[in-house]
Amino acid sequence: MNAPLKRLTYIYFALLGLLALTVALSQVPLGTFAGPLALTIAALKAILVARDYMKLKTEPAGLQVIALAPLFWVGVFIALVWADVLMRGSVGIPGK
Amino acid sequence: MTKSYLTPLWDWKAWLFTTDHKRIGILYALTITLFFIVGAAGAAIIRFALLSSHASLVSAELYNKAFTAHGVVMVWFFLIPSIPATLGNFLLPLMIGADDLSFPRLNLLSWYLFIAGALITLTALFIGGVDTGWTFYTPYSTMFSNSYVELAVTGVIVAGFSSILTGLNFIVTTHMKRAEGMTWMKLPLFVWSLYATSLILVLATPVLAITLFALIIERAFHIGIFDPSLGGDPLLFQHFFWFYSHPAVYIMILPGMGVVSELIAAYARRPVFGYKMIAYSSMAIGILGFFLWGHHMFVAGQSAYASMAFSILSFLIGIPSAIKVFNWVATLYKGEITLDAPMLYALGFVGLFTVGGLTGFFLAALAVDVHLHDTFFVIAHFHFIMVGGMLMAYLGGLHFWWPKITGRLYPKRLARWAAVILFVGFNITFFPQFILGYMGMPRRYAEYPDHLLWLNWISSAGTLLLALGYLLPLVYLVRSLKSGSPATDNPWDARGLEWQTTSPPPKENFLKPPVIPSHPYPYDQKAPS
Amino acid sequence: MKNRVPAGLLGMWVFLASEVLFFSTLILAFWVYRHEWPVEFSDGVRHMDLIAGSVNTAVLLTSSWTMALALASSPRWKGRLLVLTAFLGAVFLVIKGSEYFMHARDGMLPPISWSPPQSAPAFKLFFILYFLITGLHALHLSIGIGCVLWARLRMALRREVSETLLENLGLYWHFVDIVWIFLFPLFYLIGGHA
Repeated sequence: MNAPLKRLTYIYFALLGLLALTVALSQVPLGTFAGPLALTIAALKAILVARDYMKLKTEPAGLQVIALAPLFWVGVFIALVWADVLMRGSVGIPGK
Repeated sequence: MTKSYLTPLWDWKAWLFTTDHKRIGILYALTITLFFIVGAAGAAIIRFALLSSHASLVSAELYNKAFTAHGVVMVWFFLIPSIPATLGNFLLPLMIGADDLSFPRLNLLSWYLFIAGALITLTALFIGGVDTGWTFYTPYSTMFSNSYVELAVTGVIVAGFSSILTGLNFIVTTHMKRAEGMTWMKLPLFVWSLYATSLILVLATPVLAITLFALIIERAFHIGIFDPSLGGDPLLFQHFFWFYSHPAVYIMILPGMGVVSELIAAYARRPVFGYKMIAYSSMAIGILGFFLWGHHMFVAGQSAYASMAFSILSFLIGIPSAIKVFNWVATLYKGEITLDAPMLYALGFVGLFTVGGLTGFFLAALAVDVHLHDTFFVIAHFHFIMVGGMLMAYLGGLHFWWPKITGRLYPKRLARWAAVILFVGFNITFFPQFILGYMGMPRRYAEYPDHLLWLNWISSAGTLLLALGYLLPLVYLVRSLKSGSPATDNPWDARGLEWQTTSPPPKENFLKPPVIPSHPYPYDQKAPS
Repeated sequence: MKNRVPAGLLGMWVFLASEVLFFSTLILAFWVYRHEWPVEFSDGVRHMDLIAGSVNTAVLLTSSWTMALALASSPRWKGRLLVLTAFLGAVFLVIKGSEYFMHARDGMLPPISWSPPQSAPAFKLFFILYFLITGLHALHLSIGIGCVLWARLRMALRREVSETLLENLGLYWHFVDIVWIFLFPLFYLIGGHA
C-alpha cells in the first residue's frame, strides 16, 4: 500500500479507536460530563473525516471557510435558542 | 447579424427545455407576475373586508383564508424569488462577464421545482384554503385548523428547494465565472447583494423545510413535537420558523438594495459613494440578519434574556442599513440627476425603506413592542419595506434593464407618471395603517372598533391608486414588446458589462470579451465602444 | 480559489452547507427536549440496542475508509472499492432496519406500534425524534448508495465519469458518515447506561 493509502488507513484505525473509547466511556458514570465528553469525541471523529477523508486540509483557504462557515450559523442557532429555553422564568415575571 | 437569445421566440420547447439563464429569468418573471396577481387578489379581499368593521362584507372565515393566501403567495411565490430569480438570473452572468451560470441545468430544475411548489400550494388555496396565517403557528395549525395545511406547506417545502439551488448556483457562479480582471472589488453592487442573498437562501431555507416537514408529521400523527400535552413546545416551532423567516426578509430586500445602488449610480452618473462600505454592509446584513429572529417572539413566552439579546441585535442591523441609505444620498450629491422612472422608483425606495426601517426600531424596543405586536403597525412596517421598498426596486430594475432584456424602449413619460401614481397610492394605502396599529387595531381580526372605520376606508381607497400604479407598467411594458422603439446596446449610457453587449444579448452573452473597467461605476470615463 | 477548485466541488460544499443546517434543526429539537425531559429521554436511550448502534457506527466508518481508498486508488481497484462502500452502506441499512423491526415488535415504534414500557409522553417523543432523524439519515444514505452504484455502473459501461463527480460522491458519503457520528452518541450513549 502506498503512502497516501497508508495514511487513510491510519486515520481509519484512529476513528475505530475513538469509537471504542466513546462506547467504553459511556459505561462509566461520569455525571454531567458524559454528554460533553461523548460529543467532543464525536467532534474529533468528524474533524478526522473532514480533514483527511474530505481533504479539507489541502484545499484553498476560501474553500475551507465555505466548508466550515455553516458551523458558525449552527452555533448562533443553538446559542440563541438555548438563551430562551434555559432562561425561561429566570426574571420572576410570569410568561417571560 | 447574430441572433439574439430570444430566437426562436414561439418555440415552446426552446422555452421549457432551455438552460439559458436569460430565458429562465423570463420564465420566472412571467410566473411570478401571475402569482403576484393571485396574492393581490387576496389583498383585495382583505381591503374590501375591512371596509366593514363587523365582518359584514366578508365572513371571518373567508377573511382568515384571504390574509393567509395573501401572505403565503406574496412571500414565497412572489417576493422571495422576485429580484434574484428574474433580474438576478438574467444579469448575474452578464455583469461578471460570463456566458451563463455555473450550473445551467440546475437553474432550470430550480424553476420547475418552483412551479411544482406553487401548483401544490395554489391547489390548497383554491380547493378550500388555509386559515392559519402565513406563519402556520402551532398548535392551531397542527391541532385545530380544519384547512388544507399539509398541502399548502408541502408546496412551500418544494419551492424551498428551488431557492436553495438558486442560491447555490449564484454563489458558485460568483466565485468561479468572473471574467479575467473582474475582481471582487470591481463587481457591481447588485452582484454583492445577490451573493449575500444567496448565503441566506442556502443556509436558512433548509431550516424552514425541515420545520414545515415536522409540522406535517405533527398534524398527521400527533407526535408531540410542538404539542405541550405530549411534551412538546409550541415556541420551538416559532424559533425554527423565524430562524428562516427573519433572514427571509433580507432575501427579499437585499437584492432590491443592490438594484437601487445600480439605479442611483446610473441616474446620477456617479460611482456609488462608499462602494466598499455598501459591499460590506450587504454581507453584514446577510450575516447579522440571522441573529434577530426572536424579535418576532417578544410576547410569545420567550425568556426575558433572549428577548433582550434579540432586541439589541435588532437595533444593530440598522447600522449597515443606514450606511447604505447615507451612501446612496451621498451619491446623489453633485450628480447629474435625471428623474426618469427608474430613478423615481429608486428615490421612492430610499424614502419608503427608511420609514419602514425606522419603524422597525419601534418594534425592536421591547416595551413598545408589547403594545404594537400583532397590530397594523407591524403590517405597515413590513409593507413599507416590502412594497414601498422591494417592489419599487423591482419595478425600477425592470424598467432600467427592460431595453437590455427585450430590445425595446418603454414610454418614458407614462412610466414617470406610473411611478408617481404608485408612490402616492402606496402612501395612502399604508400610512394610515401605522396610525391604526398605534391606535390598537389588531392584525388578522375581521372586526375592529367603529372609530377606526375612516382610517380603514382611506387605506382601502388607496389600493385603487396602488393597483393603477401596477397596472400601468404591466400594460405599457407588454405593449412596448410590439410597438416600443428598438433599443441600442446602451440607451442610458450606463456602465456595467451588460451594457457592452447587444440589446437583447446573443445567447452566449458576449460576442467579444467585455472590457473590464479599472474601477466599478466608471462614469468618469467614456463607455467602451 | 477560482483556478484551483472545480466548480462542481465548490457546488457540493455549498450543498453540504445547506445539509448541515437541515440536520442541525432536528438535532437541536432533540437536544432541547432532552434537556426538558432528562428522565424520559435517558430511559429512551436505555431501550436502544447499543451493540447494533456501535456495530453500525463501525460499519459506516469502514465505508468512509473504503470510499476514501476508492478515490485514491488505481482504476482497477476503484470500481471494487466503490461497490464495497455501497455494500457497507447497505449493511448499515439492514442493521438499522432490524433495529426498527425490533422496536416495532417491542411496541416502541410510534405511531405504528406503541405499547411502551412507560407511558410518559416524552418517552414517545424520544422515539418519534429517533425515527424521524435516523429515517432522514437513512434516506440520505440510500441516495448515496444509489449514486455510488450508478457511478460504478457508468464506469463498467466505459462511460465518462469525471474525477470531480467521484470526489463529490466522496464528500457526500463522508458527510452522511459525519451526521451519524453525531447521532450515535445522542441516541445510544448519552445519559443511558452509566
